[in-house]
Amino acid sequence: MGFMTLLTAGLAHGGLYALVALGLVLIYKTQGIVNWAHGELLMVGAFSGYTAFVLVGLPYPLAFLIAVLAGALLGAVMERVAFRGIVHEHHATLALVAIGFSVIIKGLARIPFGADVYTLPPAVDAGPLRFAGAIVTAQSVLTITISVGIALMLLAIFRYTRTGRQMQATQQNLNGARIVGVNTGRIFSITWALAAAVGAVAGLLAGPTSLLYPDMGSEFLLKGFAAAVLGGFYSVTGAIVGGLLVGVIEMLIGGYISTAFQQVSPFLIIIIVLFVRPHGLFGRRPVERV
Amino acid sequence: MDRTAIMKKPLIYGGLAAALLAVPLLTNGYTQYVVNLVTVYVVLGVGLNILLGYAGQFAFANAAFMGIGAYITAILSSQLGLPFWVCIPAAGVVTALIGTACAVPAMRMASIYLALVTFAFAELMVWVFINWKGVTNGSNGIGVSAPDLFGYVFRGDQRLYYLLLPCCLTMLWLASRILKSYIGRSFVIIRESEIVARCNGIDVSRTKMIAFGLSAFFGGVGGALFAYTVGLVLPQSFGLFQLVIHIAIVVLGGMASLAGAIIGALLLTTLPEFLRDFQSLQEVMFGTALVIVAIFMPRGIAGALTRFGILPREMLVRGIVRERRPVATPGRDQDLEPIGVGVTHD
Amino acid sequence: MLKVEGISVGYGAIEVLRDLSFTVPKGKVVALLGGNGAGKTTTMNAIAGLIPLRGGEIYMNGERITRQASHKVFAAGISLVAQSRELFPEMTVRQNLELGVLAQTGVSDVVARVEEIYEMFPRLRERAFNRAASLSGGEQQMLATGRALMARPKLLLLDEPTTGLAPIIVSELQKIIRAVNERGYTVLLVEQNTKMALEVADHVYVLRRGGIALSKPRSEIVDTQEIFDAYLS
Repeated sequence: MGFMTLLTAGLAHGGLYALVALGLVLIYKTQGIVNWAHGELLMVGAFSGYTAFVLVGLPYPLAFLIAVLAGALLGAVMERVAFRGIVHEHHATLALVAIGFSVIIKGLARIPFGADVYTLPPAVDAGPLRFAGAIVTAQSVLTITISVGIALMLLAIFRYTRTGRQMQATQQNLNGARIVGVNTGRIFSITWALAAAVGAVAGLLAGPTSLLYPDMGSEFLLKGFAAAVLGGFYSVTGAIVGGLLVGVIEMLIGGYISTAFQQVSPFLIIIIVLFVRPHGLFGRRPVERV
Repeated sequence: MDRTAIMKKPLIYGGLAAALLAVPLLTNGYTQYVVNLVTVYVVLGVGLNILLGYAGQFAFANAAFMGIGAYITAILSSQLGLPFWVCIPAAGVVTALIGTACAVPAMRMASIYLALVTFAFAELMVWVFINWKGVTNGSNGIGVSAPDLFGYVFRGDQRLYYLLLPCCLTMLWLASRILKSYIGRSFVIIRESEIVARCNGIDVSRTKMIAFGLSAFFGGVGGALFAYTVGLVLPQSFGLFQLVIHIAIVVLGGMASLAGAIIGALLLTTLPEFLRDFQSLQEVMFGTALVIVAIFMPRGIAGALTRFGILPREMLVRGIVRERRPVATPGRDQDLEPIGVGVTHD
Repeated sequence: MLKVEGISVGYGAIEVLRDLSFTVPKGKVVALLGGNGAGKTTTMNAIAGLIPLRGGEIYMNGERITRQASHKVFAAGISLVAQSRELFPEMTVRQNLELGVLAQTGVSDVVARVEEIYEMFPRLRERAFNRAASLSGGEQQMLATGRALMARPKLLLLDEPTTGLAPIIVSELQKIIRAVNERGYTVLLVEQNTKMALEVADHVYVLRRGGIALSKPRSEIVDTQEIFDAYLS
């Protein structure tokens, strides 16, 4: 495979990782929670889309909408039912609750879908395109476009909408937000719904390239972590750039070194970044205060 | 002092020892296997609790430590034919050295970053176990020969129990001694505030290294015992699920509590065995249990029992017991914002 | 306007406020004085709905705001200026001010309100596009006060505004509080700086060990020794 082909394929995968990382970063910025169940939100998105599109036979845009809503609802419910009450507890307790949800969701998915593997047909049915010496699938183009589009949309929401600015305020200073009358509970729900919806979109877009099975989420979670760490874990822009970079690095390692190393590239990225530049590419160096 | 109290103590311990020794009389092969696993997980749970519960370091590497210990045992015992009394300490010591090296990132980063980097390390180790075929035999794993002492072979789960039980009790005794010493109290102070620790002349870096090394030592020994218990060391055994079990033992049992580690190990080894027959339903119930206990008993079962006065409070340092504050606390990771300290109480 | 009836607040086994009652009449500046640990900030946070009450009731203009979420208390017309200021560090001064009113719906004169704050605190206009994190202590206090005033609250809660400020700024702050009061805002001021509080207050309460130790109109206080006696009694 040529360099350009690897690069575009990497960007397409990276777009998905960016979406996962976006959700992780949003939740972390708002409540300081690392959502270890984020991969499962992606899986729920993929399977909801599969059910609506393949099993029920709804048109793709409608299936897309259903998947996004299913993900958003699940995310908001998880926050409301579990996390809101224990947000001040130890990170380990929060991690355990998230992992608990991840196990529950996977178990529930296994009841109808079992141990089989499913495929979601691509959203656009077109042959591969040739572009600057690279062979690009239409799905790749769609994935990159939607990922970047969603990222820009989120940035616009933060900057220009009332709710978006309240979300930012809540992220920067929870008590400050409460003092100026922000309904922080509502902001938490919206944050999770948004993060989960973005994850569900990633699941739908991943459908055609990666297979659908109840455990599919963990791989995306890892790469989402790598992307978020690379981007600094606090930055929306960082998450996007981090995601794209992780995708490209992974493809280049797979193409030029070996596929065995490709598997561990996200771990190596996490370890190297945290050793060399713990605040990531876009994070600010943390200040220790007495 | 009350005379009956002096009389009572050895009586209780003696009774307990007799009961523990008599366990194999009541079990069949399978239930004994589960009991053996419990002893293994007590050691592993104590190991993680030292790091997570006492020293407050949120590290995810314990499944990797366990794996390293298990592989060392497997290689030394089956390929070099070394006896268990060499293999188990060797597994502990080598793992402790690796664990100490893992403390290096802990000096620079806090909370979730440490969790992520150790998590990545753990997954990397699984990859090494799979891909370093010359040493680990890849996905086929390595068999472990039954340990023997002066010709007595601990073959079969019932006999093996008499090797595991003393090991487990020794490790528990060791942990309680260490945690009540100066070093154990230093762990707790570092957990509460590194700044306070520094102000009190505690070498934070050195103490963190000791905490990691100690935790890894328990992990390595636990891994060695695990290797003897299951008889076959496979790379997949030390993945994410293993990690979840360890964290669940500590958090559900009770953080910063040795009794908690024992309760957690008992629960998390036996419960999944009961639910064995329903794959997906088992997952759903296991997950639900994790979520519910963590929400309603954030201090774990030992914490809840202590609150109702059933378990005595484990005291390392007086006055360190933390109460949950009913306060509007801003996010934990507020170290990034240069202004605003949150609600202050006057 | 504000009526606090027998409230109790505690953290764990410690009871900070015990059966505390007082009122703040409309259009007045009421000062709540007291030493460290008297429960002043706790009182403010309890009124603002930031911490749960163990008992008692709080009424705002006859409306019960006990056990309401903080955004409901805000909607009832109470704005807190916290001792720790609680600004949004990554936002500019202007954005901080705008957020003061963002949670209210149907406000169309945000620009005019910002302008009004700038009139009151010219320093903030100069620093309008600087990040809040880069402000000095005095500027942060101005911004926190300005942000609270953006909502045009019926009652302004000022929690130890003089904390960490240079004496020259303290006298500036006195003028600001008076000016704010003259514009019709009711103010509940919590202070350790007795002298400053006596300059601006119409009525003085002294809080000691979570209860009221002294309650007197300013005009009846002739000797500040009386206040200190109440602190220590």
